[in-house]
Amino acid sequence: MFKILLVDDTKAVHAFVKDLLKSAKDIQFTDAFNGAEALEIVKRGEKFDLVLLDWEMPVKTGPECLNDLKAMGFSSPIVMMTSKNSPDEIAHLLESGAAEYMLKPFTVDILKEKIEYVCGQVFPNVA
Amino acid sequence: MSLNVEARDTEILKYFSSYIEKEVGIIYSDHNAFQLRNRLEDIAKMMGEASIHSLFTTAQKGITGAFKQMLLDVATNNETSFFRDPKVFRAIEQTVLPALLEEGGENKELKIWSAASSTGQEAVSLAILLEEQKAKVKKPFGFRIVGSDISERVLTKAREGIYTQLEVQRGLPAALMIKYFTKDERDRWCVRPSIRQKMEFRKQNLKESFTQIGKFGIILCRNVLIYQNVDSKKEILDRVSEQLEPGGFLILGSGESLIGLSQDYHQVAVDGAVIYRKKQIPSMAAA
Repeated sequence: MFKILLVDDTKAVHAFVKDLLKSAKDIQFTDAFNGAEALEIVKRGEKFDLVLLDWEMPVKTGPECLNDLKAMGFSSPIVMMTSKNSPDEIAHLLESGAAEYMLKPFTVDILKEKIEYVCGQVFPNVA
Repeated sequence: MSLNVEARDTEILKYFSSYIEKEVGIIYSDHNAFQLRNRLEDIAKMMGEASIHSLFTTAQKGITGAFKQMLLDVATNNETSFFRDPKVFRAIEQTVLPALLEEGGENKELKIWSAASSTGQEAVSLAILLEEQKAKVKKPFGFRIVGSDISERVLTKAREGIYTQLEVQRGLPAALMIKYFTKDERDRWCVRPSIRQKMEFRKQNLKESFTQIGKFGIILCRNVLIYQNVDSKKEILDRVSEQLEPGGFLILGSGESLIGLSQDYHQVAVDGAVIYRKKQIPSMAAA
């Protein structure tokens, strides 16, 4: 089972990502709707293979959540999903420990390639 | 659709597919006839023709100039992305590059040909890979990359080295994107001059002589020969081999093979990539 923590304050994004990966077998999603919720879930001791993390969210933003996760020693890859695309902002995210970055809206090919790149995980069942 | 219209459409598709095969060797068969039809409809729109029927009438007066270029452009329009098929690039990094560097002295200049380079993503990926390797390997080396394609449209884009956000997201890790590209005021990503100056893109029909293009240590000819019949494959491969230095590497697409086509190579065992090395003395049987 490949476990993904999906963090975004927009329900439509949760539905969109799950729809993109619907043909991949053995994926389990856990939903969080802001950075604070994501941290609580991780603090409870749940393990994840990948975190997909939005940038702008209420309560705790993606970059804040990224910093806190890294400070806790969280080592699974974190892929940022954002509508920001300035080279400086992307560079800052990578320096802060994000494994990758995707500009919204992304396609199934991009999502699949990013997951393969950061996890070495191939999803042959994703059309 | 009436039988008469259907027969007329079939005749038109046959006419254009024969023309494309004669000009560039790309074969449209029954199973991708719909794709050719869609592309012809696009050309008809661009040329202000009402339909592919009137495009056909125009074609019979002669296919020249912009019409010819558009027809060849759409026929050779293939999807591409950065680091397409990552195992190939891993093999270049781990197997091909060390072998070539081992043989040369210091400051060897590697010459690489990206055949049918389309909009340049393969050539740019190679340039990034080699630039990254320059910092990692002990022996200093330089490189030049030549990309070639028959389509002016894709050559123009490759020479500009400007890609949309969607294009740079395909296959290109973010760290390499910000290292080797700058963003312009229109939110497009531009290949940095430091690697752009190591690439050139030339117009080249694979069915015409390669003697002007030079000699190379690595030739990538991926998913190009699959569109050719066996005789054309052999003929093109013979001429490609002429441009590859002895001991040089020929890289094909993941579903391709030289079996039955050439004895001038031995296959290199690498996981997930089709790589052949040219023998130092080509086989007489294949000569």
